[in-house]
Amino acid sequence: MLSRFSKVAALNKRLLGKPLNGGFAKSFSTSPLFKKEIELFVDGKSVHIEEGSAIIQAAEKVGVDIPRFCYHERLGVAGNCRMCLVEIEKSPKLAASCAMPVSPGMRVITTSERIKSSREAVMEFLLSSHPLDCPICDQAGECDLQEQSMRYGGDRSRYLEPKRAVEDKNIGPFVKTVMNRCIQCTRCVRFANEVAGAPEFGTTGRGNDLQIGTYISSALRTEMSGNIIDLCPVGALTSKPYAFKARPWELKKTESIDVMDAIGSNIRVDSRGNEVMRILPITNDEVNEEWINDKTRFSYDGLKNQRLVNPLIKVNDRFVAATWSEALQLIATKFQNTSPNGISAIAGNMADSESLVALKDLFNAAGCENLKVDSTNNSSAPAFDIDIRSNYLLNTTLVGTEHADALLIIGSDPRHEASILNIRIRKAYLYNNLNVGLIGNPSDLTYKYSHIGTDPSAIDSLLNGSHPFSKVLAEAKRPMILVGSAVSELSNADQTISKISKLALNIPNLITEEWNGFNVLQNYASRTAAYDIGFTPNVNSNAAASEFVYLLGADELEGDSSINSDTFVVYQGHHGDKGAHLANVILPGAAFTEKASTFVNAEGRSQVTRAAINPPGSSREDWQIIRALSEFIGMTLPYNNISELRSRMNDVSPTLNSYDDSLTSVSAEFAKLGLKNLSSKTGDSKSKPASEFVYPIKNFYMTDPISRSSSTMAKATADFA
Amino acid sequence: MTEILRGGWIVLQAFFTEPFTIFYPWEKGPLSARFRGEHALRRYPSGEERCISCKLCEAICPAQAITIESEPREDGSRRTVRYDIDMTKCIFCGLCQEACPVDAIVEGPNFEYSTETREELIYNKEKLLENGDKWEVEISRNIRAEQSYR
Amino acid sequence: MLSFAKLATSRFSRNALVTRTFTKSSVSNSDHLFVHRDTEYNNPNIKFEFTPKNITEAEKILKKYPAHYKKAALIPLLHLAQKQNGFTSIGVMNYIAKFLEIPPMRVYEVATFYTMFNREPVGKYLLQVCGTTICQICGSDQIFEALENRLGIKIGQTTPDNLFTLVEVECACACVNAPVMAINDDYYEDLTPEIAVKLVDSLKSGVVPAPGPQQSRKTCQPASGLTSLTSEPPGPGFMVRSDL
Repeated sequence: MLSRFSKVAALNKRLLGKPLNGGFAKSFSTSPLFKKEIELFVDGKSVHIEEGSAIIQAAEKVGVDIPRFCYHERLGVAGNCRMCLVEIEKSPKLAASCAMPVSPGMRVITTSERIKSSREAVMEFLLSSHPLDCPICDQAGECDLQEQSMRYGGDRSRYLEPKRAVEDKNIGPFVKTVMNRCIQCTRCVRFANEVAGAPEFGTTGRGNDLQIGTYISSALRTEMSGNIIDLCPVGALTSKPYAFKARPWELKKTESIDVMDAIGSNIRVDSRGNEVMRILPITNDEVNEEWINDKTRFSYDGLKNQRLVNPLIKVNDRFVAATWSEALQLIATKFQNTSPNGISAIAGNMADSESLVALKDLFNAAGCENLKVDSTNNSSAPAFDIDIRSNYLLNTTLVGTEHADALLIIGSDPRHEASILNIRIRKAYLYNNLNVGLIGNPSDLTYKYSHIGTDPSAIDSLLNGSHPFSKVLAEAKRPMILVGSAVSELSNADQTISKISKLALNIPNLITEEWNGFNVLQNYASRTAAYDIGFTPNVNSNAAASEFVYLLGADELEGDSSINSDTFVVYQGHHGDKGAHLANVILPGAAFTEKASTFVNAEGRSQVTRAAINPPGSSREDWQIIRALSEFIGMTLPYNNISELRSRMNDVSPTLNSYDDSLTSVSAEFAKLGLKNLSSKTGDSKSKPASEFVYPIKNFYMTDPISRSSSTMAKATADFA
Repeated sequence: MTEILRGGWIVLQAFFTEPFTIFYPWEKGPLSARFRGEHALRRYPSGEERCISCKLCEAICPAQAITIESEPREDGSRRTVRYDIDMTKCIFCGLCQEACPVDAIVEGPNFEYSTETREELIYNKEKLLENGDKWEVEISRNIRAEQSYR
Repeated sequence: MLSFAKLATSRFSRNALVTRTFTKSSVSNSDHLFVHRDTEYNNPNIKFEFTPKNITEAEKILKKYPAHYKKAALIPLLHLAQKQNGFTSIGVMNYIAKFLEIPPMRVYEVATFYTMFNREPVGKYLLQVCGTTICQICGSDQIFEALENRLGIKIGQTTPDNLFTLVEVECACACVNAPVMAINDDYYEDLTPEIAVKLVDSLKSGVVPAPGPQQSRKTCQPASGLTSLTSEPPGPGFMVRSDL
């Protein structure tokens, strides 16, 4: 196995130290994961690198660029493009640097006459079967073939024969295929098989007749299918929704964070003028590596539909446009005339931390603690006891998941709830002999697991040791438990959570000084921040309907009993979805691509989005709306600009402001204390045991107002549902 | 002293020579095939529009006078939805016609298109295509004459 | 196009305009398509299963490979299934995939890689005529012509009565006896166009001719008799130590 980036290598070093060996070998990689360092010379420069790495990695480490098409750091080595050939001293033939392992004292030359002519020749061969499509190809401007042919190729062609043609394959509503352009680097095949777990992609035929596709015309059914668009070095695989729309040189690139799920993948929002043209991933080894899921990638066209652009006041069943002062004055009057017990707020799934803090400050200033998140059972305190942070975070972190050797999933479908986490689990399954057990509905997770049971009572079989998987957990050196949000929505959630915590406390290596294997998976971008801030009801809040409800972008509202026909509802958000329909006053806010705001992901990592475009019409940034409202109400919030608000956020919880990529983790002592608290919950003894988990995601492609307004997501639902 | 007489002789000479002035608009000066005038979007002989929305002309235009937005057409081919040339920004350098890989955008031989309002000078795709149809004969003759030098 | 040609000849084009004619891509040179098309005789609804005898055979084959690496048996099992089914249909490939617990795409990849896995039905007799260097020098072109004329089909096609499929294959490795034709699993060597036609006629009438050289010699011996290795071969135990 080839080494990863140095940060992750450092994590490896800390966590491991001794090679993982033995046990049932699912694959043949039982070799130790951390090897000794050796020295070699690339172009005269000395490099120290792990033994077993490839020359191309050593060259990268020292800053030497070797051109390549088929090699990719995160995929297996193919070695079929031959572009990365380098000269090794004392070797008669050129070697493929992506496949040749380093040896101590090796001297590598990356530029010489021989290599130059070899690169020109490879380029000539690749272009001899490549159509002259540059003007109509979407990849022009960011095409590896264009760049490398300009740099390393010849200046003229001598090819006069007819070129081969290959059929276009239909692999779904996301990826457009023009297989004439394919150079058969097989990056997409390796990605689909290794990383995404979709084995229906492969290569048929051989030699000049090699075709990439699914042989039978089936779609590429994986939620990570969009990543092959990034991987493909030429324009063979391009984005269908983005087809022909823009050229890369006219796009403004903004680094931001994705809010469709709680992973907080780092994205780059490409915009032209005031329109988001596409979304691409940014490499972040600790969160999403280089991948994003299809919902993140393709739901941006929902940002143009169903937008709220003006403040609206409901007059006799119709919404009438109003000015900001009219709308805010109306809300303020109602707010002042309602008693603190009669007002409540519901935080939506995409609410940013700034507006959460501002809203909580406003409500607390009015003497109200009726703050809820947008989930079922939200009138009582959260099932996971948010006083101790490790009770609601992904404590093992995404990077740590790759090192687990036993995993128990309870009530979660990580494939659809957190696709990036699923990729990490699959990595651990492939390379680390991860043993997975599932309690919940059996579904295809792209890796094999032992199905322990479908309903929550299966946890008992693990507690009393009757199921063989309990032995696996007990003997694992790095066990992990992943609890899904479906657990907190059970009718007997408290008892179930107490059982899970007891189980967790009984597993010997689950929580140690270096490893915390107890994880709760949040599904929504705002949830962790809401818990960090304390945006939850206290014991005095009631489940009954309120007179005044403030919806901060809340659109799911399942099982919510606080709104009835008499309630005065204020909706602050960016799309006209369910929440807006219920509202009496609508305040248009900004979507995540239009504001600079903080989101805390499922691991507790706080990351900042940046504004790529301006919010449409009269919409404003959310925290500014709340600040303006506070002035109308008469309880002016004490911050006038973003830095003051951020220092207030720092007061509330310092974890909201840690932007330096570090994760503040909870110590083992506190983690165990948190689990003890959970295990002592008794809950309502009258609640009957739940017979099954109800997973929160019914349709992966439409889970929030943005994806529900997107026509691409609608096409995907029609094709894949 | 003699300078006045010598100057006077030149005036007399000039009085009897034929003037170079041409009677525009009934007489017009000669134009070469390379003349860069009003823009036009051409078509193929079959009637299919040439422009494939590659945006090379938009990228190379030094005055950023060209604005292009494109989409797949119903038959799946790559065509523009919007192709505007702001003639008030255009500097008539001809770089767009040099950049075009399919000879879609050209600068035709027409220079007599003045308008009374500024808005009319922002040509959209329809206007450019119309131009093209109107001037195609002369434009293609010019292109053929220039073929070997381009 | 016309203007190009005119231009090419005109005196303005001294600096060599390379005039190319407009070419379409050439027809695919391989015998089969590398994508699957559903037809009434080859679609995923037509299921395939090993006969009980073949299942035992398959188990025997599986035993040759490590227990947790069943996919190593893919090629022999596909060959067995092709022998049973006549051709490697999509149903065959899906069945083998389930049998070996591997994703179907892996089976499709192998089946399309090797030309001996016929993914289209073939006739009862698959006439595989070698067309490589030596056989061509020795006259395989005439054999092709003769067979095409006799059977009324071109290379790659099957006769309407589904008896014969004529294909051109690579070197059959019997170059001494060139030209060579393989019919199903047997080699027919030392052919001439007349002999080839005679073979086909005999097959049509239902008589399977004896495989091997079709002219006077034995295997690859010279026709006039052996000139070397004329003595009896020594049996087993020749020059072996007595204590072994």
